[in-house]
Formats: sequence, structure tokens, C-alpha cells
Amino acid sequence: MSTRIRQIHIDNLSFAYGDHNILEKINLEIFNNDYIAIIGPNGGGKTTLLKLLLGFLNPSSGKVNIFEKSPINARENIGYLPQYINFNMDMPINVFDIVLQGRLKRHKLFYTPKDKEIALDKLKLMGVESLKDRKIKDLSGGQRQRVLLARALTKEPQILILDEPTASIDPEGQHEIYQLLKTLPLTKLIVSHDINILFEGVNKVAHINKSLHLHDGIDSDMHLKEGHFCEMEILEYLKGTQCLN
Amino acid sequence: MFELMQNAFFASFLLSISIGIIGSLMLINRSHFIAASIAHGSYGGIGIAIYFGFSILLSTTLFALFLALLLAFITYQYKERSDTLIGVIWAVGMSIGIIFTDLTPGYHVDLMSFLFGDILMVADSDIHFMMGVDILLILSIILLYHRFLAISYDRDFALIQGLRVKLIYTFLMILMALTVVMSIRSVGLILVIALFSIPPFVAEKFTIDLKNMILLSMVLAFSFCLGGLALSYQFDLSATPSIIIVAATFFFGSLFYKGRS
Repeated sequence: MSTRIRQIHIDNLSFAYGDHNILEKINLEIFNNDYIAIIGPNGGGKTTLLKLLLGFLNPSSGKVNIFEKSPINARENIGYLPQYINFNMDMPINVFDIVLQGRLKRHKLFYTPKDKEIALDKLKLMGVESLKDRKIKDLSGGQRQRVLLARALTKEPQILILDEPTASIDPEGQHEIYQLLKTLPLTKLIVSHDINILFEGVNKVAHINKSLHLHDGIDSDMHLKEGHFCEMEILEYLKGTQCLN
Repeated sequence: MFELMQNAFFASFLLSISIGIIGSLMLINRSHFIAASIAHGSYGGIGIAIYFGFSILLSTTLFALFLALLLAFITYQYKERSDTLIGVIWAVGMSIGIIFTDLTPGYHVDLMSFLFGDILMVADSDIHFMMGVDILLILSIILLYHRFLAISYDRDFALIQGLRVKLIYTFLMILMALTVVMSIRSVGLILVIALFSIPPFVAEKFTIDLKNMILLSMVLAFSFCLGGLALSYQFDLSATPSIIIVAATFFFGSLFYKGRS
């Protein structure tokens, strides 16, 4: 195994809106090639943690470091797949223009041929290059998420942050997204409501409900021995994994 | 008559360029209400110019820019409640304009000419101003095309890419304000929004990206203007409302067209 490099370090982080504590004393370390799922109830602080990681919010106390830098300064190494609800869905924009956005930078006005080559590569990697000239709003949920994944990868990031990537797509599409994610050789952090994520190759699971509970060293093949599989097995299974804090 | 028509023809051409660019950006950002607020609010600048004896064009431009900055700040910072604030700015701007014209001794301004404009009465100075704004718009869309596209589609992603989203958004509001001011003489405060909405709305159904939408909007806008002018000439009707009626006919017609996929 290659050397472990700490990429994300969350140190004693708390966040509050006024008097309302959202996150309390969170600690988390994420290393290169970790695949971590962030789960927890609605209102438990998943989205807030994500916003802190992306630098959209600042901690009330404690620190977030990514590559030993502040989240804003680390953004150039982060690929991001936002939750689809924040998109301007009616906009006339074609798939290739969306994927190219991954090559945008502060001081770059035009795309280079190299940018286009990379964008096309990632579309191929996601198996959607034939949709290149289609309007994004004409695609199915699964196709659309693969396009957005291609956009995040076109940046060639070291860490991929995904916010509910399988929400509002059909089970088959969800499965395909998980299969694709599994094959990507980079650090992945995925916020999800979908409990299936726990068995799609993640090696860590962080459960967040104001405080964070880390389950380290998930063995995703274990459930195959059981035959039947539902939330109860997941519960039992998680009880058996090692809790770090 | 020939000279009137010649300026109306130029004005239509210059308007169509701005409609293609700003109208399309307005549509994809759903900022018609903001543009309408700038358009109506900028009547404050007209009133101030009349009272203090300033140049109307200069005063209106500055006032509209001020409103654009205010609206950019409000709509970026307070997204949820921005509708109310946009509406208030709209009304306050108009009220300032009306009060200042009331206070001007012996002046009875023809409010109608600012509300509805007259494309046949466009002066050479207006044509020059329109040319200036159009050049700025064309340069902006060429240089900032990918940025406008990114911040309109998915702002969070644009932020992660390191773009200065707030600055780009504010600049877009400024372009919108300049466009509104340049259109006041020809189409007026009230009709400007219709004329900036309809061509992009129709164009969107036939195009797959912003670039083509902008170009098609320009062509449509120019055709509507020419059609309206011909109609007004033929039947001796007011020119600007004729243009709006021609545009509206295509607008309602396009509602029956499903669009390409």
C-alpha cells in the first residue's frame, strides 16, 4: 500500500447559527484514497459540514485544513458535485459546455484545446460522450449525474466531494453511479441519504448528528454472506465496526 | 420622414444587439423583475435631471447604475426576500422621479414619452450612446461568455472553480442598467421589458446553447422591430407599440411550439 498522506484535517470544529449549535467538537482525518460516506439524519449537520469543507461557511471554533491550507485556498484541488436542487435547470446549455466548466479558473477567459481534450476524456470515462451536444435538461437523471461527475473530474482534482449524487435517480442509475465512483482512484467524500452507499466500496463512514461518529475500516463484501439485507443488518454491522471517537 | 426612419432603423439595429445579449442573460438568470425595477426606478434619475437641469442621459445613467449596484447587493445577499426589496426600489425610484418633476417650476414633462418611448424620435446623441453600450456588451459577452454561463448555471460550482461570482454578477447588473438606459428613449420604461423578454424566449426553443440563443434573439428582435416599423408606417400607428404587438404575436405563436429536444 502506498504511503498515507493526510489530506483533510478537521480539528475540534464547532459551528453554530446564533445560539443554535449545529456541529459540536468534530474531529476527522481523511487520507489519500479514502472513500468516506457522511451519513446522518436531516438537520444533523451533514450539509453544514460540507459547506465548511468547501469554505462557504467559517467555523465558530476549531479548524478545517485541506492540504494544510484553508478550504478556500484548497479549492483548486477539489472536485465538487453539488446537489442538483441548486441548479438553473431550465437553462439552454449543452453537455460539453457544462463539462468544460471544470477547466474554468480565475484568470482564464478561454478554453484551450487541451481543456477540450480533457473534458472529452472524462465524458468517455463516464460513458456519456455520445451525449456531448445534447441539452442537459433532456437527459435522464442518471445520465445527468454522470455528466456532472465528468465535470468535477475534468478539473483533475485530488479530492472529490459529492453531495447526494444519487438523489432523484432510479435504482439502476444509482447503482451505475456507485460502480463508476468505485473505480475512480482519488479521495472521495460523499454525503448521502442513500443507505446503500455503505456497501459500495467506502472504507469509512462518518455519522453526523451534531457530533461525529466515525466507523473506520468498513468491509463492503461482508453483507454478501448474509443473503437478506436491510437497514437492520446495516445497524448490526455498524455496531461491530470500530468507533474511533 | 426619411431621416426619422433612418434613425429608427439604426436604433432598431442597435437595440437588437443589446436585446440578444442582455435579454438572453436576463432570461437564463430569471432577472426580469430586477431589470424592470431598474427600468422603472431609473425614472428617479430623469426627475433629478429635470429639477437640477442636468443632462437627462447622464443623470439617468448614474441613477440606474446606483440602482443596479444596490440590487446586485440585495439579490446576492438576501436571495429569499429579494422580491419585496426589488419591488420597493422600483416604486421609490419612480416616486423620486415624479416628486422632482412636480417640484420643478413651470415644467410639465411628458411622462408618457419616457414610459413608452418613441423609436422615431431617437436623436443622434442617443444613437451614439447606444453604439457605446453595444460595443461594451459585445466585448463583455466575448470575454466573459464562459463566466456568465457558469454563474448562471450553478453558482456553487463557479465558486469552487475560484471565479469571483459576486463581481461577475454585479457586472452583469451594471450591463443590464446601461442597456435599460439606452433603451428608454426608443422603447420607454414600460415596454423595454417586453421587448427584452420576447426574442430570447422564442429563440430558446430553437437553440441548444446560449451562444445560438443570443444570435437568434438578435435576428428575431431586429425582425420584430422592422415589422413593427412597417406596420406603423403603413397604418400610421405609434411605432414602439406596433413593434411590441408584432413581437407579442410571435410570442403567443411560439407557445404552441413544443421546442426541439
